[in-house]
Amino acid sequence: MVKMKEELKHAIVKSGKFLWNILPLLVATMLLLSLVNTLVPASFYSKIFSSNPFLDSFVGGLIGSISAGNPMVSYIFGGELLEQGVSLIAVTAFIVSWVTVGTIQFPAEAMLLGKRFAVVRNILSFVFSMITAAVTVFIVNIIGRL
Amino acid sequence: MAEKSRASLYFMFGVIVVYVVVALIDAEKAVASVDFFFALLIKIAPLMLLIFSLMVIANYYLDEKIISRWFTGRKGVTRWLITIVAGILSSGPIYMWYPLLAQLKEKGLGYGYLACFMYNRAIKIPLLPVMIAYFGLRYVLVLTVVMIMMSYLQGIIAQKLMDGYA
Repeated sequence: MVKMKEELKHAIVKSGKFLWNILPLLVATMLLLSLVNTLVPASFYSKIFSSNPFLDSFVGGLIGSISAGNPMVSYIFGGELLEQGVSLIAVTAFIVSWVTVGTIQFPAEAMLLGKRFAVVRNILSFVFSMITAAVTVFIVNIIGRL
Repeated sequence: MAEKSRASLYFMFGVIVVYVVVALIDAEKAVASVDFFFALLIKIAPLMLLIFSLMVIANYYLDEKIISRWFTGRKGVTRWLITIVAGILSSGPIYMWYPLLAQLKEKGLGYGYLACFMYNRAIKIPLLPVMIAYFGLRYVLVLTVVMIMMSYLQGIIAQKLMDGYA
């Protein structure tokens, strides 16, 4: 029983210390996210798409990668982009990369999980946002024809 | 860890400098950003408690042997499924999960599983109704299934690319 209490105390102290040490990083990341969220207007996103689905998926993935915030915001932007004639493949790449690629969070990810891993994961996530978009739209179109 | 703490403080300082520059150019935008930050902070505070609790549980119950049994045992499919489900069920911003993921990595969780977990965080169950409202049920179902499959592929590739790195 005493040993269990000591182990629990150790676990609490260890976790507390860890969180305390990374607190400046978390606060700085949140401050940066808030700034990007305020400075980048919604209209910016609808002006930069062409009509080429492949190029658009690249652009969509790129914009989603550098954007940040609640995923719901990306759905709303995505919905608006669709209404303005932007292709579904571009919008899909946009909403997928919005959550899977963390450009703004990159410093925190690199510091805590390793720089190489952060680079590999983010590049893969960007590439996969385009692949996911292409596969999803392809399947949705096939199902739509059935 | 001391080096990481110092780097965190430099990062924090850099962000404050950016805020000062923005404030000098457009004070309203800077104030709006600070307001957004506090709103985010209030939203995230309960999540911090959840993360802290999970970290305590992880530190108390999990050791390298248990992690090895979960993630590096023979049941490869189960291991991946656990990672996928955990990624989908985890909530809040990803950076809140970095500390726990870093600890799990230290306890032996492979990079591929970390990548898979992080990719699956893109699937937000509480937000699915909103997504369905915008894009339709068929699209959302297909996207969710495709993303789960892609998370596995990404995990495999990430693991291969990270082989040999501690």
